[in-house]
Amino acid sequence: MKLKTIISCLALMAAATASAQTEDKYAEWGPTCRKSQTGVIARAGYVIGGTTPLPLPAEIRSINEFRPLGGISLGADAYHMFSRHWGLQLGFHLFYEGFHTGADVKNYRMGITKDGNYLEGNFTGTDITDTKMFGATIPLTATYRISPRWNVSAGPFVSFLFSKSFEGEVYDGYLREGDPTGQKVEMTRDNPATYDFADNMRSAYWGVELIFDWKAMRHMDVFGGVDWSCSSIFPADFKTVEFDLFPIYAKIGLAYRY
Amino acid sequence: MKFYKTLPLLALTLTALHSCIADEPANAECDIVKCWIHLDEPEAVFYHDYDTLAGEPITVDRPNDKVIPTSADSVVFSTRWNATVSEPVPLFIEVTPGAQLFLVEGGSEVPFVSGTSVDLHATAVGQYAEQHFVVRSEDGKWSRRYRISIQVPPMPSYPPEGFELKFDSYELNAAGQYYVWTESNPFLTDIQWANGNPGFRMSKSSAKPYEYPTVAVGEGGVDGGPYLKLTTCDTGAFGRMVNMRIAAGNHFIGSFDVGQALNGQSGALAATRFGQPFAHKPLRLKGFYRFSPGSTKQDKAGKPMDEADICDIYCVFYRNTDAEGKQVQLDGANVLTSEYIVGLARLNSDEVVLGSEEWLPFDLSLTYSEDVAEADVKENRYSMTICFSSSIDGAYFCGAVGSELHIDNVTLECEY
Repeated sequence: MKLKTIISCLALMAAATASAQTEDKYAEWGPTCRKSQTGVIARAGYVIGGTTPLPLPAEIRSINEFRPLGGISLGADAYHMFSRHWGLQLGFHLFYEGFHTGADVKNYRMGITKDGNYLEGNFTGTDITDTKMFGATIPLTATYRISPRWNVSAGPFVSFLFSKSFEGEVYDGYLREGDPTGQKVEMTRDNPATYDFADNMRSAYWGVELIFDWKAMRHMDVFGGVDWSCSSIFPADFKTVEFDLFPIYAKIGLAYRY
Repeated sequence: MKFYKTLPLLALTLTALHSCIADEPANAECDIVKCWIHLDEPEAVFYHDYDTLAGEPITVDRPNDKVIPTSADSVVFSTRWNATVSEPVPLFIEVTPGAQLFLVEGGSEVPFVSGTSVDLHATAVGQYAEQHFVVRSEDGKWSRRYRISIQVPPMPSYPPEGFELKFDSYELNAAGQYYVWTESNPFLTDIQWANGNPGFRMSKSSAKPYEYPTVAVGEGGVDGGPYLKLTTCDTGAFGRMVNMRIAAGNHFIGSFDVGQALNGQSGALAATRFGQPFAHKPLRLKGFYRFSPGSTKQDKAGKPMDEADICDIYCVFYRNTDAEGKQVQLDGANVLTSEYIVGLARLNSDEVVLGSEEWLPFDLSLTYSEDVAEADVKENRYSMTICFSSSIDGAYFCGAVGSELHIDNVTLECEY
């Protein structure tokens, strides 16, 4: 019995010590302004991603090239911790992101409207697209402290575009006008059909942000995460591209924690 | 170290964009791509060996590689005027990969094996058997119907007054978008008039029939009746997308392959297939015209050019078979320059009177560069085309928007 009691006491003491150490760790890596539990995180990150249908439709046969264009995110989050584990963040991030992609498609449904003229059909061939977006994202995320040095934040965001482009060309293939039984219209690489749908793009969209922060130093975070858009880049009545295209961009970067 | 645990998440997100290629969908197309018949002695029934293979040459360089245009819903093999076909003939049909081919027999569809002999008898003008086929796509969602026949053309005969062409037999196409013409002259029932209207429709779907480059005007012709109005038109935003900013109004004997029409400069030239076999030797093309040029001639890039626009009228007579017996069909790239041309008449641009309200006559004589044997002409060894265009460089997308050429009461005089 004595032995047991001693062991129990030792264990309790050890646990208490450990707990006290952890408590110290949370405080040590915690919000820098200890009294208010409030602060600001300035972030600079690299952005990579694209605008994609989900899942990829069977009409897309292969993605032959993919190259990010732009890829910068700059901004700040104001945060407040309500408890040791839970807090809230509100941010404002400027971003410049985009991509270049080349895909082979088969029987890809499309329709183009310009100046009251309409051309629709099913395209088989190569499609090249360049998209660039410059805008601001306002995320409102809940923060959970997994451990003294790890934070995870998740929540909705809205993005507003200041400038946008969505242009490309189709070639090395043919359009079946109207439907697959329609007139075949050949298009070669020498004479691609070019398109520019920037004016058709939405100026605002929303989605969900998920960010992991790791406190590398007392004031310096390494962060990584994803902005996963839930609205298509084009409105529902835009029939040129039959499926929804979601901007999905991952970001990785450094943050300074005030 | 824990930071690295998030890397797989990032990597997953990125590779998700690349790796989710779904299984290839089944083909949705259902065309007859090629169609031919087998005869032991083809030249007993047809003028040329190659007449047993239906369709249009893929390009000028590959004359024996003919395909059925995707706009076609019928395949016709045209025989000698005095030939007959009474026995079933082996019929070969190539369809889109994966598609299934059926012969319609008594209202039901029977799978058809290419090469099977079928009844395609043809005994006289308008007396022939027509077989119906259905092609069903690999994915089962689409189908197309085709009619296949062998037909006997009328006996060639030459009216003493010449072949009169009045452009008074026209209608809207099946979808009601633009005008199409048939030749009303009873001596020329198998002559096909073509123009670029089907191509213009692709660029300007909103255009009314009278806003197309090639238009029928119901009255005001030389005899007060219908005449042909050709206008160089702006092709709008879609035209700019494919770098084809204008469409000259044209009208010619031959066919227009809209499938090639938007395929760059070379495609656009190949789209106009000039001429049909013609069993008469043309001597003179005359008729009536009015022409007023548009204000500013522009080049392919849309930049103003330092010259005035002018119209074009010509008649070409050319050998339609090369030394190896292959089919020769002239197109926009060579219709005025080919070595196969034997006779040519062309309007002299300097003599065109501009802006006349009255109908003015033109009279063009064919100049022959070599002797033409009557026996060869009667054997359909030569093809003939007549072409009118509102812009002389329209095939190269140079011209003045608004250039307008009116044509009526044309006569083609022949030696026999």
